[in-house]
Amino acid sequence: MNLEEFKIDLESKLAAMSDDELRAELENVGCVFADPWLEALLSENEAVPVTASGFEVSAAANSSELALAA
Amino acid sequence: MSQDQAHTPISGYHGCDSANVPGIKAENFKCSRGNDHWLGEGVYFFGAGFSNPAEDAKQWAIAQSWDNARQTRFYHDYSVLKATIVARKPLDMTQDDGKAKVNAAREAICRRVRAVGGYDDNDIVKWLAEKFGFDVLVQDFYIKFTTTRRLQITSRFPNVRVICVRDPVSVIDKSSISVTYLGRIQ
Repeated sequence: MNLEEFKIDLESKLAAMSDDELRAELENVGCVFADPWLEALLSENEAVPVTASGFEVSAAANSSELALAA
Repeated sequence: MSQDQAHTPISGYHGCDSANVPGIKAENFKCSRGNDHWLGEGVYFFGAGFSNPAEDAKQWAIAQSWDNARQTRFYHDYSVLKATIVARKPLDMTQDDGKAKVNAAREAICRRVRAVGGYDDNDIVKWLAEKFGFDVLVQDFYIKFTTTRRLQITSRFPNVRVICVRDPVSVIDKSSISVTYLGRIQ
């Protein structure tokens, strides 16, 4: 299987899976995922990185830790 | 070993406690289990490339004999076994093609889901192997043997070629297994 064939097969395999199914497979090989509520919080914070209160949410830290904006 | 070289026999060298040799020769190799291996669960060999794989296996057997917690050795007699590996569907990450496949998979996965702390290389490779049925994985690593462990020397430059056989029964004919080196650790 050359690289192009591999990429087509890869996309096909991924397209046939839901995000939850993909997460489950990755968990089986040792990956750790955030709880859904934390994932949602991180995604939300990435969309609006600086809050109205002037605090920036550090999404990269994978936590709800707040860092004071400069 | 590229995909084009599937079904081409290659030699792998495995260092171990000599007490394990009769069982291996009689029943074939058994996979190391768990999530703390270089390329996931499998039987690990050193392969030819840019180092001496038989010597690598010997040094590995010596280094692995040391029980750091008890400050003694698990075993004193070690062996280097040679086996012929015939992959049907290898993933050779020493080649550009293999590296590109791993990167393509990582990028595709990262676009879809996010793991806490990101993805470990091994996680991506293990997932790939499971998903695509790769039976033999080849990668160059820097690993520490006795002296480099003692001196805590790390490096980004590989010093060995590692071959991970995920299902030994299907790719190793046990009649090909032979002892190439026997040694005793003083």
